Amino acid sequence: MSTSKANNEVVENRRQNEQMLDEMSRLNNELVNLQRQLAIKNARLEQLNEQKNQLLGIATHELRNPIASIVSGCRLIERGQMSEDKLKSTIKEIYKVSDKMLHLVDNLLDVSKIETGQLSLEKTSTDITEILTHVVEFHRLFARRKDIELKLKFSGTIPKLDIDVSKIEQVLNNLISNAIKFSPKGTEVRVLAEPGKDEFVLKVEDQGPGIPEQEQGKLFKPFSRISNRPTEGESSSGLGLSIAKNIIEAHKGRIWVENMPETGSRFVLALPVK
Amino acid sequence: MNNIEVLESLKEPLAAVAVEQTYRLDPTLMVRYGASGRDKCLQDTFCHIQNLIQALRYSSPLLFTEYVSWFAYLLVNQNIPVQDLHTNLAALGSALKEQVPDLEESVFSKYLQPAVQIINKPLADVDSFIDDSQPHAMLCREYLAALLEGNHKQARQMVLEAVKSGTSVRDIYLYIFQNSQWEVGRLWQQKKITVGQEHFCTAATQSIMSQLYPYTFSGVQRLGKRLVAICVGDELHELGLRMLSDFLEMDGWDTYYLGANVPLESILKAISEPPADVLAISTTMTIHLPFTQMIIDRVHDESFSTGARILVGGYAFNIDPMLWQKVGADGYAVNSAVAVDEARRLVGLAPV
Ligand code: B12
Ligand SMILES: Nc1ncnc2c1ncn2[C@@H]1O[C@H](COP(=O)(O)OP(=O)(O)OP(=O)(O)O)[C@@H](O)[C@H]1O
Ligand SMILES: [Mg+2]
Repeated sequence: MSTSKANNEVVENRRQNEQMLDEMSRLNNELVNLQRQLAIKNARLEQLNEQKNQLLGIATHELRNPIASIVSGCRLIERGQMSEDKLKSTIKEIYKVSDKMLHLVDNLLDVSKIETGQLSLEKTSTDITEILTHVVEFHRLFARRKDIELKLKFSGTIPKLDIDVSKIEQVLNNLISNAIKFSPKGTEVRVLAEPGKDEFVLKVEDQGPGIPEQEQGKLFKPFSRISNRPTEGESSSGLGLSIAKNIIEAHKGRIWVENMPETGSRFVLALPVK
Repeated sequence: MNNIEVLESLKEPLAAVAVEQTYRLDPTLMVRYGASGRDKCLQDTFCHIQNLIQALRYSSPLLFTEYVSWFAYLLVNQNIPVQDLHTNLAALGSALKEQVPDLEESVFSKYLQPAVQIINKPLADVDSFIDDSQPHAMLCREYLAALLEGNHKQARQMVLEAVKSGTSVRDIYLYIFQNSQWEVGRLWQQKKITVGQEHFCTAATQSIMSQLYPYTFSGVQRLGKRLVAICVGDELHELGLRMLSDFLEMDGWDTYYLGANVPLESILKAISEPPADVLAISTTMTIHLPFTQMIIDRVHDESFSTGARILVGGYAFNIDPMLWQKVGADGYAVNSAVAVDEARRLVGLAPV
């Protein structure tokens, strides 16, 4: 009787012991989990900080030249010894440079929003044919200046898409302006809209230099301008495609580039159809 | 009610009747193990029934035979004759016949009898998990030896030095952490180490993993994909899932590691705000499968469609390689290295 009682006590002690060990293991799991969260947060912050510095570096570098040219323009005007024509063209130049700066600052703001995860979409069911027509019309003027023929073609009936209109417009603007900007005079830019089975596909094709194979990897990353430069001194911050990629992926779509068989590039984007 | 539901509702009385019969079949049990032995027998029998139910639910005899051979091995290493388990299973068989008369014959022919056959044969020793044909076997052996001596600092030093001299964190995870943990399990089962040592090794490895985090997480290109990782119910085995999450984090996923004991509502919240691309569920103990099933059913429920794909894995899923399909998961991987490509497949990304 007493041995069995002692035996029971031993068993009970062991049970308590094991319970205690399991409880410690639970606590330890929690602790390590917190450690993990901290480590990840830390790594993210470091990455963000690095990007911020990069951003700052680029911003100051890119903004310095236009500001300098505005300042010198203002100085000329201040002296007041200009002909009417010269005055007009200086002011025009100041506008142009300011526009470039505005464009850069807008892009930087977009990138910083994306980096901090603040890119939010306001989706509405939209007829993309209207938007496309509108965007292409807008670029026709720039195209004409470079004697580039801008064509828009729809095949089949285009379904309505669930998209954030202003964000998608931004993407289309960038793709079309790129095609015009990096192509030489007298070429052709084609915008083709094709309904797929569960995707809407849009292609922007040009007859410019194309994207060298070895540079395709960094094309969609922020701050990585590649070797192609605008042919007529248009503005280029090297951020448009990285912003576009983020916007398209936030729509659960895809964007990529192909080289055309002869010359030129084809940017393709695919958006899911509800 | 189908028979599985009947069994589920009769678990406790069934275990009691089976134990009654066990002791009737072999009266020396009482003499040999006393009253506390009988309590233990009741717990164990209950566990057999739980495992049997899971095996039946997924038409997977493997789940049950694997469990029984694991259990037999455990007994033998505690110097308890296999014959006693034999008696116990025979008693369970007749208790089942008696309490659930219209149970299908296949329960006996496909589940109980094969299990009994396995323990009739001499039990093969489980081979060591530290195998010279694998990379870093030496380091793994030394690492484990240090931990078993309670020398956490030395073990940590070894790992940090290996990483500094160029061994990848992935290799350390797979060949040092995973293999040493599996070996700990084998040694514990053979009663060569204590439960305390088992806990110590795990805690030490978890802590050393954390110290590698500066190497693990820095400078990774983000993929913009989100993965939420959970263990089910009261699962204490978290290391495997942590490893899996770290592998995916290293691949550029944003991982959100929730661990165990998370209420269903919190899980659903975690995968919807912001929407997760993948929900990873780790299940070690076979008897935790009902929780896994409940979560999968809920996440796949039409009314709750976040679009999250479900990836499962862990010891239980490694026993029966078809099990992941039977629970209705979208993907499965045998270890964290394979899991990276499987997770990528689920979200339509090319493998690495
Ligand atoms: C350490 C350990 C414990 C620790 C756990 C502490 C902790 N914080 O994790 C403690 C001591 C608490 C413990 C308790 C128990 N344990 Co224990 N434990 C182990 C042991 C030795 C190692 C587990 C481990 O760390 N493995 C290392 C990791 C890296 O491997 P892994 O888990 O298999 O994970 C890999 C893959 O499976 C996969 N994977 C894992 N999850 C996921 C998820 C997804 C989505 C994917 C794709 C892949 C994937 O990738 C991982 C990395 O490559 C194992 C032995 C073994 N062979 O695993 C036993 C083991 C798991 N335990 C077992 C048992 C029975 C128990 C206890 C019931 C009894 C006991 N031993 O005291 C309790 C139950 C506790 C509970 N409620 O959960 C059995 C389980 C048998 C079964 N399936 O039924 C095992 C197998 C031991 C054995 N051979 O007897 N245990
Ligand atoms: N259609 C194209 N043909 C040739 N090169 C291109 C084309 N589109 C883009 N590129 C190259 O890729 C780079 C990145 O394009 P991206 O749109 O991101 O920046 P950007 O046009 O230079 O500046 P931003 O769009 O910010 O004004 C460009 O600088 C250019 O070198
Ligand atoms: Mg651009």
